[in-house]
Amino acid sequence: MFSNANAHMLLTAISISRGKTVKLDYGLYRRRFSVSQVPPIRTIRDLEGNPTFVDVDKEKAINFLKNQHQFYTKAEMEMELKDVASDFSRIVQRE
Amino acid sequence: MLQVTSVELYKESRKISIGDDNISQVMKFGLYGNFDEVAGSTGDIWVMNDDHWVVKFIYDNFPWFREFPTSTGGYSYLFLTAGEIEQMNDNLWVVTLTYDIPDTGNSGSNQDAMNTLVQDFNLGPDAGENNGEGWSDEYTQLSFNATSQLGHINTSLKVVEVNKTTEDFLPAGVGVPNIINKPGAIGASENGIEGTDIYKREFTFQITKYFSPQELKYAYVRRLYRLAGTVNLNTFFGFPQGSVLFIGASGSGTLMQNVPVTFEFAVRPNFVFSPSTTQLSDPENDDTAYMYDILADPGFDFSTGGMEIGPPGILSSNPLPVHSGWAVVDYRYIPLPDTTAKMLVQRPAFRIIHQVYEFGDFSKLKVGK
Repeated sequence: MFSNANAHMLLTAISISRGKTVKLDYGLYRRRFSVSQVPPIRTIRDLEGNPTFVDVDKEKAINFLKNQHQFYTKAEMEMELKDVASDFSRIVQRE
Repeated sequence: MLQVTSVELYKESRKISIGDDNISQVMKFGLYGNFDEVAGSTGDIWVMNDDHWVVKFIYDNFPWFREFPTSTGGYSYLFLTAGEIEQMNDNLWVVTLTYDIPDTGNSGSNQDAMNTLVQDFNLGPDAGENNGEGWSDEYTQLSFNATSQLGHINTSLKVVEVNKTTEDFLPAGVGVPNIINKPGAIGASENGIEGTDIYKREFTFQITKYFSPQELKYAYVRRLYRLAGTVNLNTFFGFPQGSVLFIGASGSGTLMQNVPVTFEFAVRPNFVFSPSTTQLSDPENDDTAYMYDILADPGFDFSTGGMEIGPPGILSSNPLPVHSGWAVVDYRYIPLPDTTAKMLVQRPAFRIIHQVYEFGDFSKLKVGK
């Protein structure tokens, strides 16, 4: 089972990777990402032509995992809370 | 032009070690290419620089982490911690890589491992990434609920209509006991105020943050216990002080993975009483100094400024005291003969505002501010 805790680890590992792209083992890439949403920029292949590693856009990989598991950065969370809370700011209590 | 034509994993080379607090995986790869074209390529001087080229290729193309299943059904992440590179001939280099959870001197959790890697290998986002913002390594999850729950009130927001009986038992000249568009006691009798139950909207939200097992010490858990049941001393995720109640936190996990801890909060808007105006908080105004509802409550002496509750600073630029959304408003009624209505009615003589929650410093929760 790929839990949110697992996704959080993967997201963090990708986030702290250097550069604008991130290198992934092909098996991990296919298990965790959509080829259409996070397409490989470059694919390294073995002697038979099977993919070994892929290089993907870091921002797309981060956004894919964030959307899949509904993660927020702190700034996004603050903004989201403000938006939602504004609709419920009319709680009038008088007891 | 030099190029690696293929990278072959030698499947028989794979070796896995699983221990109580660590996992390691060793694997060999063959790099096939025309490496001999690099050697001697610097002008007239023969330079053997294909080794540099191969190392750079590994930096640029090999993943620095791998996914590995754990006994609990989840996954752990192993990081590239050692490598050995050996040239076999002009067209083949063999690379042996070790992926494991780096020795962090403590639990060996993934988060600790990553913290160690970031520190030791200067990892992390480049300055220009994400428009200069970098990427947050503290992703959290958020959920919220908007519900209505039954609560009891004694006073209406306002009386909208009062009708007098058409029967002739009332003495001549009898008026009505309430003022239209002003608050009124509900179910007032000589015995007191009966009030009524109404549905009130509630806004709650939950934040899930992931901690390494090392961060979840008993001292931190005790801090959560002490802060549970307090309202925010300072602005918290854009909500003004006094408006957010920390209900509690829960979490459980394993040593090899980050532990999700879910914090639960509830929000009620702060408020002030006004002698004349009702004006609800402007949802578009992000200034916490103005995030309060103004509730008309005429008939009380505002010249004294009423009472202030909460710590210093909760008073905003509004000349009237801003009260915590979690304060309880208590009206004390006394029965008085109403000369107009020719009857004994309960009149609110005092408005008492109670503080019922302590204030807590939510920055100590470590979920953000």
